[in-house]
Amino acid sequence: MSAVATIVRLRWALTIAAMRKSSAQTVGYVIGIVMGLGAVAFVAALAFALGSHRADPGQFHAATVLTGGFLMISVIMVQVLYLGQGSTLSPAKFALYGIPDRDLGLGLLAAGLAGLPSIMGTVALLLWSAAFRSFGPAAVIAQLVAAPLAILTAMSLSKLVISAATTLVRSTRGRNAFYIIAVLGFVLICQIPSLVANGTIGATNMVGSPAYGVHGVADIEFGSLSGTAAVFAWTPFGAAFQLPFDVMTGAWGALAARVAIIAATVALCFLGVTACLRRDRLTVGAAAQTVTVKGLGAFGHTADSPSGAVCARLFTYLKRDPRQTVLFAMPILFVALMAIQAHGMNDIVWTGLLMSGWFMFIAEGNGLSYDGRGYAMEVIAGASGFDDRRGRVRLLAGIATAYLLVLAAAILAFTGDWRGGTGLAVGLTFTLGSLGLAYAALGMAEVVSVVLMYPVPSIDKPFSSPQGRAMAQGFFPLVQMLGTPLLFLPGGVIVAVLGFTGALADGRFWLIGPVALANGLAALALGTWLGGKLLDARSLSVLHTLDGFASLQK
Amino acid sequence: MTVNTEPASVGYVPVPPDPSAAVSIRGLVKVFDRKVAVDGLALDIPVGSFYGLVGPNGAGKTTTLNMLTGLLRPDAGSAMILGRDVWSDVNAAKRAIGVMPQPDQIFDRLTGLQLLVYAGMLRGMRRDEVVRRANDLLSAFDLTDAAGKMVTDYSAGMTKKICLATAMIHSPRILVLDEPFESVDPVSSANLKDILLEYARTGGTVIISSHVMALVERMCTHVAIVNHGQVCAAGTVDEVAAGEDLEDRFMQLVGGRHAAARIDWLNGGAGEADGSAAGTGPTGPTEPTAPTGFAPAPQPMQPPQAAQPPQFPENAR
Repeated sequence: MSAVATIVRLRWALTIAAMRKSSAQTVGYVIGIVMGLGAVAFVAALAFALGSHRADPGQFHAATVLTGGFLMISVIMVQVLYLGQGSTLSPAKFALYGIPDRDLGLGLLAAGLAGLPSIMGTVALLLWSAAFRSFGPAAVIAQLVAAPLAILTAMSLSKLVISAATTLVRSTRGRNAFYIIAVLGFVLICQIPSLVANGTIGATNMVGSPAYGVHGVADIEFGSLSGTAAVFAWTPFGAAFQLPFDVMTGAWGALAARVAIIAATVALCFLGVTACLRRDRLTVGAAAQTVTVKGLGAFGHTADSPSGAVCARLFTYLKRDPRQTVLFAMPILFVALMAIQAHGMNDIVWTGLLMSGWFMFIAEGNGLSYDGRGYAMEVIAGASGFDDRRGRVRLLAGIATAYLLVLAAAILAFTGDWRGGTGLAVGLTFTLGSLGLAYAALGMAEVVSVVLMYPVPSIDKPFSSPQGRAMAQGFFPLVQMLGTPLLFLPGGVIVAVLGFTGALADGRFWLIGPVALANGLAALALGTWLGGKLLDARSLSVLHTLDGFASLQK
Repeated sequence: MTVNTEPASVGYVPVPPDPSAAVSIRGLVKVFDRKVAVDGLALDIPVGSFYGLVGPNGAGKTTTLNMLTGLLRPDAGSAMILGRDVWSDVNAAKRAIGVMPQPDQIFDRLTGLQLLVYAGMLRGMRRDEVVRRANDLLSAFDLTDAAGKMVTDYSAGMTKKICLATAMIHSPRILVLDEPFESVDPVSSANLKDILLEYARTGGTVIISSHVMALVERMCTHVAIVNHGQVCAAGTVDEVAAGEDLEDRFMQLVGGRHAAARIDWLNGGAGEADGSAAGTGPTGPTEPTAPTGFAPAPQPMQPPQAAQPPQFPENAR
């Protein structure tokens, strides 16, 4: 047990040492404390306000369980997303000292619980008991007991996920898959409040309510989510938040079962962490799994030319580079999220396709940064900028075409627009428009990626965040996003002329589709040519910039 | 402060570039901010030579090689490869030479075979020919078993070898290698040397930069000693060594050796044994001893040596 206490003391010693060493760390820590105290004060104020009168038990229950569970999942996800940076208390750093796995696992859990975030969280949840005042002292006491249990559950689950990820994600392929799953999971979790709010508002206020779309989240009817909350309360994420409600309703059997769920979760997590530590210890230094590929792969199928080489190289990298692979999942997410929130309006689902085309090549707008110093091979070989751009465009335009057409077919099937009539015409117009937008966005990307580059995380540490990234990452993609619609000015003028002459009347609006497609293709051709010229002129400068970015990733 | 980008006048002979040489450099200048990295450097490298470029850290070797290979634009001067000016058609010059990329300048998520095919196709070679040559190179470098593995899973020595192979895939007439043997184990290093010597014997020109003087003396037919962005001495290894050990000659030309600082407390435990441990304390006097056999002053730059046919050292292997 002395090892456990030592690890807890070590945690605080390291925190204090870090603050002594760097004033920036101290300032950051103080800001963190202030924000934490602010959150605690907010929870306390809310709890006392709610507790002063008897709230609607149904809504109160659903809100508490769902919000608590959502926060618990968020805490776990944030820990996972920071995994790539390496934790100060990484188990590998204790490898030299021969600490038994159980003690080490317990020590790391205790150190996590002794940290400021855990303490603040516990205090906030303890203060939340004030919200139960109107439901009697038993409920208040139950919440006081549930508060540390909720934090213990969150911490146990976090430790298990981190240990399992560290243990399982050894190979390059495994790390890539883990990154993609983590990012997609995080994006989906971030969408949950919006989906819940939208769905609930839709169910309750959709018809004839002036409040719809104005009060937004304030109008959420948590009562309608009581079924979801009841189910959630039987999971490790919601069980601790359900305990005071079980006491309120006298559901002693359910209370016991949920305490058992929490106990089992903590115990299983601890066993899992110990098993992972043991496996790490026994396999340390073992060679990482390597993947063997037979033959040339994509290099056997592309054009027999320098641009074919670029095309094959990029295709191979898109499969093996998690930073870029994950972005290709976004169009499906766009369409799915739009479909969930469409409430029967098919045009909104089709808007998802349009957005997919528009945003599909945000990463390509910084494509040379993703290539990194590997781009030096092209400079060394004396490959022309046009060959580079043409190779990239050939692949990416092909992907966009296939991807958007499959999505369009799925939307046609989902909305029923395939049956014909106006729905089909609208669908085809949106499809051609999305393709045009994607091609134009790609053309824009081939130009901006040569002049407006910003640092990206290393392919080996996709979760890390290189210095100087935030500012440029916010601004440069904006240029691409806003610039793409400008490329549609010629098409816009043609459509306006067609509109004025009445050519679009009588259901002939579908003409917009071919015009947008032609406009997009012209923008793509222009972007490829101009990007190639720029790359020829700036290749050494690009290489120098990439060298600078590489030093930021170390 | 203004920086004079004109070639250094002291000791510089305005000899025109030699179009018959593999490489002919005249008055090359590069200034980074206010630091002069290369200062009017002039050099001729004969065809078929194994040429070593040596010098202390920051002497300007890598900067010179980068300007020679079209990876860095010079501020002044000219660089000619096989009679063609590098910077008038830089891509044509690049196709005539093979530059070994650094291990972090390759796409290491490709397999070894894919990387070689990529390097060949980028240079406009036909795929079937590239594949044939790639397999030959993989075999020559003992990488056949690793052909299907991603380069990121290679060891440091294997990565160096695949980097060298990417520079050879198009059978260039000149190979430019910056520190090719750094972090390579002795066995791989010996194999690399064999391949390079064989290449030079068949008429190829190899230019390497290195800090390892023994290696240069053993492998190279010619050597140039670079210091402060200028050539201190150039010619065959024997000419530059001038009857001495090349490393001693290098020290004479470059200078910079000074007496070992004697730190009283850093005594390896001997002081404690005889009872006089760190008696003078941390501020105790130190008396540097002047080394013997070192000429302190650097030599003035010598004019470029006339190209001479290469003669490989007997003990090269």
